[in-house]
Amino acid sequence: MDSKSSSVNHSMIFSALVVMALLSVGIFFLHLPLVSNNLAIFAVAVVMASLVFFQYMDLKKEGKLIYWIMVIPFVLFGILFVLFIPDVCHYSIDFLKRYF
Amino acid sequence: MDKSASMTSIPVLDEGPCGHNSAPAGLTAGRLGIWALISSEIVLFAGLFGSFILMRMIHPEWAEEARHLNLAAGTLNSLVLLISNFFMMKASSSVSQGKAEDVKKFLFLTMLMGVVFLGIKAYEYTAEFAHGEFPSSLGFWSFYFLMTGIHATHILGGLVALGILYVKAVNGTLGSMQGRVALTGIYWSFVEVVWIFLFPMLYLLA
Repeated sequence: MDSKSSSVNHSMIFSALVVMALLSVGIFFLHLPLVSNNLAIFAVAVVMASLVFFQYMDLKKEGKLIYWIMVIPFVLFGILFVLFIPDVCHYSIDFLKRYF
Repeated sequence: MDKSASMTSIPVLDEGPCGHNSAPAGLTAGRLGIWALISSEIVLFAGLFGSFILMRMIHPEWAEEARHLNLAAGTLNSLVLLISNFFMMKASSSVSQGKAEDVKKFLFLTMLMGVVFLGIKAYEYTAEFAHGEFPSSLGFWSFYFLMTGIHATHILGGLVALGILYVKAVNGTLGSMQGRVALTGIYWSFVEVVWIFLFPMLYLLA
């Protein structure tokens, strides 16, 4: 990729990120049902984070070792999150009824 | 392929202070180090975010607390950080193109936007303190101040790194440290990613 196309790419990514940041605020003002609102907002955040990781941070150009370094904390986070759920249910009997 | 891309893929490694390399072939020690740092940061922030989400599910009344946050200031901060990150990417590109003046200009603009971000956050904190909300207020506010405070500390750390690079660029001694602009860019982008999740979690959850 030459420097000019790299610059254009950065500008396009930046524009997309700004649009999505404003979109997430727009979703908030739509006053959607709780689950729809939260899922939509997080979906936009995940797309934005992916753009930054792969385009700005050049994760797409990195080798397998870096991917493994990045996967491990997410796996640990997943385990931590799942292990917490029984405690959360213990403190709120309505938890499962409310969200699932 | 631009020079920054080629810098990342060459099998020649950065030498450490002891004059030896320790990174696997094809990966510079600097890049391995910054990704390892980011990996450990993900553990920190993911733990915080996960705890907050679970607590938020238990306490739907926190939504009412969150209404007291300044959404306009939070949105403005999101845009400021996006602009700052864009300037950082421009600085990184300028280094690989050998445009010394652009490097200085974009590093300065990146820092300026970082300072503006902290200024807006300080304004928000001041308003929240005036309303009697403190880190010791427990519940939502403890999470809010803890998470935004840690994020602001990361911004401050990034500003120090950017400041060092800027001084080197102004003095014309950046030559041997050019790769570090790209590494700082990766760190700055990660700080942006943290805010991308922090902002909706605190300000926008129903």
